[in-house]
Amino acid sequence: MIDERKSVHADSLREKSKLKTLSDEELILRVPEGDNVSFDILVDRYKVRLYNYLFRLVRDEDEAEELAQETFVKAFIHAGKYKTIAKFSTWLYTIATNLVRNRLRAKKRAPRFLSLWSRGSESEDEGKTIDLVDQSRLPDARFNDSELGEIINEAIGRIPEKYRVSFVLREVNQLSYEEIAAATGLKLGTVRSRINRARNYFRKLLEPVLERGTDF
Amino acid sequence: MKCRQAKKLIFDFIDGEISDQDRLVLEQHLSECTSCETMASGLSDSLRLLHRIPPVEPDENFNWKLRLRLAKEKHALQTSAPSERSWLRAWNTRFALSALSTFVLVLAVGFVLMRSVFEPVGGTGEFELKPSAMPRVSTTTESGRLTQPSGEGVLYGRGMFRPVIYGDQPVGPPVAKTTDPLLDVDSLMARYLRSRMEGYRVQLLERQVEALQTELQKCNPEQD
Repeated sequence: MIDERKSVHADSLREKSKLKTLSDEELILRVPEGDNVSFDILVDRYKVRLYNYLFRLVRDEDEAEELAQETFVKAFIHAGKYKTIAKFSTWLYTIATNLVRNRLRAKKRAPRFLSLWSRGSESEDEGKTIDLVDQSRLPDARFNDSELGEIINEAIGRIPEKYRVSFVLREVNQLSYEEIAAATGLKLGTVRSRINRARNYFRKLLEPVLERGTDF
Repeated sequence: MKCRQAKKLIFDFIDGEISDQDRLVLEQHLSECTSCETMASGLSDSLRLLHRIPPVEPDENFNWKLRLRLAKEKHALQTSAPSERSWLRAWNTRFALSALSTFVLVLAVGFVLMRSVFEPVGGTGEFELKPSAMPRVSTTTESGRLTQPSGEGVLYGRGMFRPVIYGDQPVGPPVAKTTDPLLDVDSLMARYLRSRMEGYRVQLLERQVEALQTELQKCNPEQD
């Protein structure tokens, strides 16, 4: 009996390792046929990238996780509609981008008095070049990785939303310009100019940090 | 090289899409221009910092939470499927169709009304009010309108009365007479007015007679 179980388990592991060699596109095409293992592999491949993308945009761990889950749920439900003309990663980022855009739009529309209890509207911080560095720190004090992470997240959050999405897709998720254009529905030239503008914003926002020297 | 061109090349350099020749030109420019050099090093350093930070890890139970959520979604889909969804789809289709047909109907009615009231002025692309749509003058006389003997007013429409403005022209074609005088409201109204006018005239004449009599009495006071 135990031997039988072991053999079934070994079979499933073999099947899974075989599936892992398949491309994203091949895997997602198996999902509408009821192949949940293929979907699990896709989730494992993309959850960190997707979560990071969303976290850099919304700057809230819970919200980023909720959005990432919603993205995967939508991908699972609509797997039958996936067309191989687009890369799976582009399709997934398109779903996530639409979700995050709707979320940010809803936040902007939310009554103003609610922001009294929140940490303040994101749009109010956008583009503001106030110091991201605690001025009480000694000039030669160095940042650890977590402090640096916070500063960088804060700086990304201050890039105007219009440019932020393309910037994060490029600089955090390392997508090509063509993939970003496909995911955001923007023209290639627009994507390039938005990313370059965002890079400039980011550079200006990080100026106080850079002035202390880059050897942190 | 101008700074504007240099800035474009800086971004190409960051993307790794710069040719060797452009790279040499850019390096030459950066060695001469402090502003561009500061920008290039700032961009490069800030992006290097961004790439240095480790990725954020999602919750370790992410997969379990997702499975739970997917199971809920599947269950919701199964419980609502297929009758509920098809009903919803049918309702949506019906709603869209009824909205569309109402819109078309409103357009058609509007068009018909417009065509019945206005007519195109040949070649100008403009429309003017049709004569038949102008306010009609009802009449009981041969001329097509009823003017009081004194010219004080005119009857038009269904028994409405308005004062005659000097130089006023009759508008629209005359309305055909009704054979039954009792059903012709305009005719009755005209008769009523005429009688009122007659009454005024009688009153006027009576007053004139009274005035003449008074005058006569003043002239011949001995007759009393």
